[in-house]
Amino acid sequence: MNSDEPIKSITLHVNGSARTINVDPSKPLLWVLREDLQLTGAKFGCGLAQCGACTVHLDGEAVRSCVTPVARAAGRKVITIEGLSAEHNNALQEAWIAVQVPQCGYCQTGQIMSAAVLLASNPHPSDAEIDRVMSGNICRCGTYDRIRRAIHRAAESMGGRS
Amino acid sequence: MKSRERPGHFNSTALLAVSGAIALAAIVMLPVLLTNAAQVPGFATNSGAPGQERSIAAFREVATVLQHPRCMNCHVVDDRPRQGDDRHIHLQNVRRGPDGKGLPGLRCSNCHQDSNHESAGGPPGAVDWQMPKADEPLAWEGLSVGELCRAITDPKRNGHRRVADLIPHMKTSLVVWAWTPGPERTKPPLSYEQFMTKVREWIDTGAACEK
Repeated sequence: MNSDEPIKSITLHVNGSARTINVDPSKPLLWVLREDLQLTGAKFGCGLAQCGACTVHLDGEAVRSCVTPVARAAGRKVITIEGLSAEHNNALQEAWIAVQVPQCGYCQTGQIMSAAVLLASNPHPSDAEIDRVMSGNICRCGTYDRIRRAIHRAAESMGGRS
Repeated sequence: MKSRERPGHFNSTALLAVSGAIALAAIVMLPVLLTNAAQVPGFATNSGAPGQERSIAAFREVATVLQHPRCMNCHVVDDRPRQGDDRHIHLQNVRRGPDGKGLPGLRCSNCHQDSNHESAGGPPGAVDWQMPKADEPLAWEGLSVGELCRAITDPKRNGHRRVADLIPHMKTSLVVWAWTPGPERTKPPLSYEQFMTKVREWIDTGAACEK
């Protein structure tokens, strides 16, 4: 990514709303969300797509926004943790609260966004299937067991609906 | 009554003369024809002719690229891509997935962009980043040079490609990426131009494989 690129007008569809910003197209989507759009739910962890704390949805895929140039998101649908549900009552969010998953909480928005993509493609994942997909999201507090339980709980409450 | 020849027909003497000339020409040209046959793309000979030796030698050089970590890290025998020159298992427990582009929630494109991340340790990138598909794994690990040659010339093991169709694959952004791999990743031992020259030489001389 080249930080010397000229400023461009880019429109994103973020959490259901069209948002137009004048920005260096190589600027990471994470920093556009946090600095330009004041959506601070996605977190900066490693900045290298290694930890998953910055995970948001781009056309339904769980992208690492810290390495995704905002130009890639132009005209596309971006969902952040703030847009996952109107009242923070997505089945995953409710399960996360019920199971008391977070310890420090820093990685949890990324965990939930990855879990949402998992359940959209696999409404009843096994433990192994959860581990296989969620292994891209690191939790330094080691809440992995509770994350797994919360995903099962959300899957159950969704009744197999994605 | 003297027979009358109709226009456009040879008489028997002329026909014999022409046939003889063709036969003589074929005998004279036979070595040339055999040499050219070995140069038809996808036509491999076992004659031990100089063309075949040249073809085998060219592929040995091609193989030094194909067996380099930049290629081998995705041409694996299992469904787990590798990373780095030490070819360790890809972090994040990444898997191939049916289409070679990962599993839902952990797709290649979740991290890999259309170009390299500028920082060491950041994800490399090229357009259409992927592994071979699960039903066409193009697995090269553990193969000798001869086995590798036979694998990539076998349509059942090379993604149903004719030998000549390997050239377009070698020109994709993903293959070319190996020569601009980003920080802290080594490049293949040949330059891209040298590599393509050897690939063409190998194909043009019959795509021969050593035993």
